[in-house]
Amino acid sequence: MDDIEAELNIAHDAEEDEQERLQLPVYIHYHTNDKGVPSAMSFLKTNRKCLQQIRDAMLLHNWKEAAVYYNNCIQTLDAMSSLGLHPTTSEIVWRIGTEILRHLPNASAEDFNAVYEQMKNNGVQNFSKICLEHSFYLLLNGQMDEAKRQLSIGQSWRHGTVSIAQGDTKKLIQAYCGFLDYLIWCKKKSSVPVTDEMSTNCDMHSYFRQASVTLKEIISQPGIWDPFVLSFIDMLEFYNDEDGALEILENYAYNENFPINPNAHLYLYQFLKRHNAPEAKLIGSLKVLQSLVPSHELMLELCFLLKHTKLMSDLEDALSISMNLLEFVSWRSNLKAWSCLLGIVRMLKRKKCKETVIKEWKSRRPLWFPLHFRSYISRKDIVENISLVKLKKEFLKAVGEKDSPYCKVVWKCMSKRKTKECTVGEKE
Amino acid sequence: MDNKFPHQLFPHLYFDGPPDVQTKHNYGGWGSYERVLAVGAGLCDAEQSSTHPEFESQHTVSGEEWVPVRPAVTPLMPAFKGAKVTSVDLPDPMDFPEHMHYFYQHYCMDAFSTMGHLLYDNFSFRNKRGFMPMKWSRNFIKGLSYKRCEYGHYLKRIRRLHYLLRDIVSDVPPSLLSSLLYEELSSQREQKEFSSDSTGGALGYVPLYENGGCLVYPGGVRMDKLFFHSVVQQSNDDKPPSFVMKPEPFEFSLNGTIRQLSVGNMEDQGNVAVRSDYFCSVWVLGIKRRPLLVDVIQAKDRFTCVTVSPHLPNELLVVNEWGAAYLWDAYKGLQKFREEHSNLYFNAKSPWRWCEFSCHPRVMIYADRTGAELTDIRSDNCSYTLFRIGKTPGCLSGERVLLSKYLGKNNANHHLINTQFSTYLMDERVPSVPMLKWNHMMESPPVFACGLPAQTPSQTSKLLLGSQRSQEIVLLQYKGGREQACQTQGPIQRLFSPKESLRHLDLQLPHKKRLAEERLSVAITGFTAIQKKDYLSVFQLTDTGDVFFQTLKLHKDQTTTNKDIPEQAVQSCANSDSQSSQSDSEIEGCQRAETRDGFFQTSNLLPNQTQTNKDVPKQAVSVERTVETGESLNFQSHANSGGQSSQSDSETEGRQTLLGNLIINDNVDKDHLNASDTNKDISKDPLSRSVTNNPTCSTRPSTPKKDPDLQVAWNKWFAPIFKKASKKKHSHFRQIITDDLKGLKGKMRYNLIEDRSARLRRDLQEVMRKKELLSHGVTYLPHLDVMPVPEPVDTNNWGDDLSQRLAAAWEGDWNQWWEEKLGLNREKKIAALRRKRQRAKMARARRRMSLSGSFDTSISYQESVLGWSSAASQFQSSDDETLQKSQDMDMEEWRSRPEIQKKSPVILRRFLNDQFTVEEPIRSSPQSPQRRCDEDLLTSLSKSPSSFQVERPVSGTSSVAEGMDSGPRSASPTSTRTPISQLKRRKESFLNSIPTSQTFTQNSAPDDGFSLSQVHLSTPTPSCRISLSSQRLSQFKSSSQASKTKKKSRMGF
Repeated sequence: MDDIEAELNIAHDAEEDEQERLQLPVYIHYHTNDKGVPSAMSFLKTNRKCLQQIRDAMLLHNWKEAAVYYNNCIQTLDAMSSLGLHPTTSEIVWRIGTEILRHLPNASAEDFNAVYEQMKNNGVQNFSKICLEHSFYLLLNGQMDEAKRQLSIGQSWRHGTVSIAQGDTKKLIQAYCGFLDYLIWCKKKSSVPVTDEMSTNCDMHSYFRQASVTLKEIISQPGIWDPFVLSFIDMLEFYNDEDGALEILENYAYNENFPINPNAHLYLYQFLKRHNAPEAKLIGSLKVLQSLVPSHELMLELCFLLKHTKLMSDLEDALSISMNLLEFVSWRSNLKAWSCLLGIVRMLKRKKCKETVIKEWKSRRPLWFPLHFRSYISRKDIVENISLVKLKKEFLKAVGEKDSPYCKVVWKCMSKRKTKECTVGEKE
Repeated sequence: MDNKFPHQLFPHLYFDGPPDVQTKHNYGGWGSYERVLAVGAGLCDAEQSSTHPEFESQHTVSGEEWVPVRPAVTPLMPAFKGAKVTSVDLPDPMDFPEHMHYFYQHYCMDAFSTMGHLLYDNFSFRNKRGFMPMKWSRNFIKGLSYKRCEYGHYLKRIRRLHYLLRDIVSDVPPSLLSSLLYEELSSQREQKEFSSDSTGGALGYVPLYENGGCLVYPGGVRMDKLFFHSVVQQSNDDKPPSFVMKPEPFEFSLNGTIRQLSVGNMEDQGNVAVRSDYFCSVWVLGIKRRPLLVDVIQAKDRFTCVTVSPHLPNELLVVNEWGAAYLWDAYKGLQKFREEHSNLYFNAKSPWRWCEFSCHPRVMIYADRTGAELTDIRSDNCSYTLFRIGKTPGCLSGERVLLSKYLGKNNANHHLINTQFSTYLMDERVPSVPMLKWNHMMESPPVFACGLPAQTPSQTSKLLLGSQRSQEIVLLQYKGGREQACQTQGPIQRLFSPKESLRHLDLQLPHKKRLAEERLSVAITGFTAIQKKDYLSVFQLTDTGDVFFQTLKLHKDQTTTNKDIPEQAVQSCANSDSQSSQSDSEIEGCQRAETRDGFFQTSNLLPNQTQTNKDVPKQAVSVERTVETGESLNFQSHANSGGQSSQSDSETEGRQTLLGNLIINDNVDKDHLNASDTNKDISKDPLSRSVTNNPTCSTRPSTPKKDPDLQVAWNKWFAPIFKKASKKKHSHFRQIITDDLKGLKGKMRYNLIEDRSARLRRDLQEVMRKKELLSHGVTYLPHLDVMPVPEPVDTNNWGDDLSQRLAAAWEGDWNQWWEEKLGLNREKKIAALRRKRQRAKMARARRRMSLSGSFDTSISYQESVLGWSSAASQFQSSDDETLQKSQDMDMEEWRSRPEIQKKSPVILRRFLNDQFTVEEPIRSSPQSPQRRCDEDLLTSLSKSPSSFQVERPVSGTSSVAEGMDSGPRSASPTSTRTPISQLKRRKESFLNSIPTSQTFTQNSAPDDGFSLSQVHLSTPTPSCRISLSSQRLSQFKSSSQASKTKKKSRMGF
């Protein structure tokens, strides 16, 4: 009975809603012709102006004002698209509508769902695009199953001749379908103990099959597919298909049709490392990355690996790689990079190969002095990072530039500071 | 810190080939999430995250909220008197006949002298007697008028002469001249629409010390003077910073118009590079020293770009139109590192080239209209693509690169690429694939850009884009690029432009207003921005050399988490260029804090919001279902809408602003009322405050209204212009001193009264002739003092049974009350509910066929449109009965076709309606909202007389709406409703007493529309609506109201 009572109240609410939607349209500025009679042309003019008003309000982030305008002219906007005057109106209405709704303080999930549903059928051309966006919305709000449903609706939808853009959306929908399959597979995997028999969780395997088919297809197309590749590799590793995984990763990293993506190389390197690949292979994969992205984080690791091969040529490579690294802005005051360089220089010195260091230094000296050792930098380093100053000084000593202005400035400042500290100490 | 790369990028299709997607509309920046990514999914070791994956979208809904401090831009210094103001109107190439006409008429010696001399001897109009009559020659000249149809003219001789001589009589053949003119005009138009000369912008700000810096800008008549002007930034804690210009700037005259300024990093001293067409120069700036010219270079080809190095002092890049790029050391000289005689990837027919530095001091960006390449200058032929039209996914056909900018301060690896449609954020390490892409939605192409780094890791990085002709500046925010993939933060925001500012100022006299408008609507030639703590100041330089600034304040209710690290914010502000060199461990810590902050933001949002609701009551309440808030919203939109739509019809706008000023007292009054009322509302229903379903949204303070300081600053700016204008002596005009006119005011009022009484007399006579009533509302008599009706007794306040029973008895349903009380009618209710649910179920079942329904939708639109047009035409015929019938028919159709009701876009409209009306606690007090609306209606009616003058254009659709709502309501039992008849009577009496005046009808249509909608939104009883609509109908037909209300009420309500 209590339940019924509650329902009764809900029923009241619904009635209230019905009353509220009774709102007459409002017009901004009503265009008429000379005689004051509304015409088709003036209708269009009014429409255009209304759209402009909405646009201005939205650009200035006056969401409520935009909502009022939108609220009152959506019908006329729709009329424009249904009369075939403006073929993209339905898309405009959709985009504007969802954006306004996102910024209204009391929009609920049902409102979003309803708007997406309505818009999907409004301009049929955008059906799959809106399906994708709708599923994104649901994913962001944690409704994975519902999102999956939306994606499958979008997947099964066909309309007219498929344009290129439409085809792209189709591909993405398929990819995300596979990705969600993978996530469900993950869920099943974590819920079922690993030691269980394979037959009990055949459900999980069917998800794997679904996901692997779609993911494999999307990964074979040129593009950036980081999350998809990772998920596919994860599944393949679970089923111990390491050769397949390696093949996919190598294709993702080395296929020339794909754009350069440091992550592809990173994944490959991590995979090789996980499966205890020989050092030469690791170095090889990192060297490819070095040629493409010489400022990548993994360069430090490459230097480390090269140092351990104990080959002379590798050490020389490591020296130039680490010096290259330090020329980039993002590494210029990185302690790890400087100590790596210093380690290599010391190792070379120990091996009596000082001339290679000097040779490398000579070629870079004109750039390095203003870049790392100009007076402003020295003063800044002293204020901000004393350990960096020490490393730099060590390096200058190692390449035989003891008398450089940098060292002098540093020495002066250090001594000043020391005397200051002394005086302060004495005072205390 | 910048050496980290995001572990996962958002998925992207990669397409290599010429783009063939056409641009369709300019609204692409809204409503899309673009892509989503599961955080932590796919990592082999992240087991727990995979059970409940969290998703992130590439385009997030909300970012930091930057709210302008003042309603318009503020001029930084008085206007320069001698500036040359060129008209902003674009020349139309099809105007060439006009130009030729002018040439032939006013430069006839140049046009015809050669042939004239040759023909002089053999050509005369003399007749046999030796002279021609005056009349003849006049006719002849008339006949030559080129605009006239030559065949239509009767003089055969002229026609023959024309045939004979038209090709040879002019020195330049007309066909050649016209084609040349056409070419010239179209090229002028292109040049005016978009000129790449000033790409990069000619305004720079060099921060010299903590509270000030040096503004570098060009000036003078030809923009050939360079000014270094010290600016002191005065900032109090709670006040926005103001800028004080030191009195004497350093001024240098250069040999050519300054096109671009590039400002380098400030260390002990910083470089400023200046580009004019054939010269480039470097200056050194420092604290406590004069700006010093270091080096100048000159070339035969025009320079297109100069850039100061962010890495090394005194190093620059210059490129010229020939395609040669040089590394320029100010003390050593030039070193050519690249030369391209054609465009990079395809022939874009443009000599524009651009160069920028990159993350490595010896790797440069070389860009032209087709793309951008990274070039290593240490070795020959070592370059690879960073950006390429066609190779970058999502390019549109016809897209061209307009600007490339290195965003070293935001992230050492990031570059900005602007095209006319989109803005791309590129990472050097992932060439060809944009990390982020915005559809910037600007009207004219953005050729200026400015990047502002995030002050703390939890804040957003900012990008500002500016355009020339449309004076737009937009603010984009994004996050990420280091450990997380880049995400945009919130939608694009447009900042104010100088040409919008006049309507926020006091009204000027028409000729002065025109002067100011002309001066303010010239193109922008550069902008720069400074961020200091929570304030963002943007400077704009116009073509006439005026500098304007605006300040935005960070509206904090989401970013309160930043408060725990204010010191760092200050520090990073003080030396923003040395940000990258902070110790690593500290920054890693911050990075971790970033993710935590992100989490807190969402979880803390709800309490925060209630907090702000308290702080800003008026804004927060404007979503409630009250008429006042509708009014206030209306008022605000009125203030804004005045000229946002401006260009299309400036005339009405002008009238609007005039009107706004006229009724300003009225508005102020309303505002007071709103504030008090809304406060009352809050205290009444505490529930409504917590109804915020949308977690991503927050309240935003409205932009401020008029500001006295602003007016003062603008008056200073106006002074020189107006003074100059007044100097032009129009001696041939007779001057009339208008001071005496002030005395005429009293007389005018008298006239007004006279007029009013005359009209009243006329109206009375007419009414008497027709044997009708004259109501106060249609006369022009002064307003009646409307006494508010005392508040009705609220029986709900008495909770005890006795009072309720008595109240029920008073209303006549004592019997029902007892039944309710004893629970006798429970069965009935349950039965009713069951029926209702069944109906709902059926409805839902129908709704499921959504695709097929979509076609119905379009039908219904057409119907509504048709209905509208038919109604409109009938409405013209002024025949009440036919109108009535058509409306009835419409309604019948609506009732008979329930699926149309379901599928119509009105449903969507309802969703949006609901956005304004927070669900109030109806259950607890079923009568209160109604009554409040009722009161509100009364007050609003009495306050805004003009709201009844709104034309109701679409009578067809309104009838549809009425029919639609009457359908469901008649079926459902109405349980809680006040006696309608009483309400109706009360309202009608008020309607009659509303005074109306003709002057408002035309001008106030747009803004009054709002108040009207709010009225309707909040009137739940249909009777009231009928009376309103009939009232409006009476505007068009001067027939009696009473008869019409009767007719309407026959419609079955």
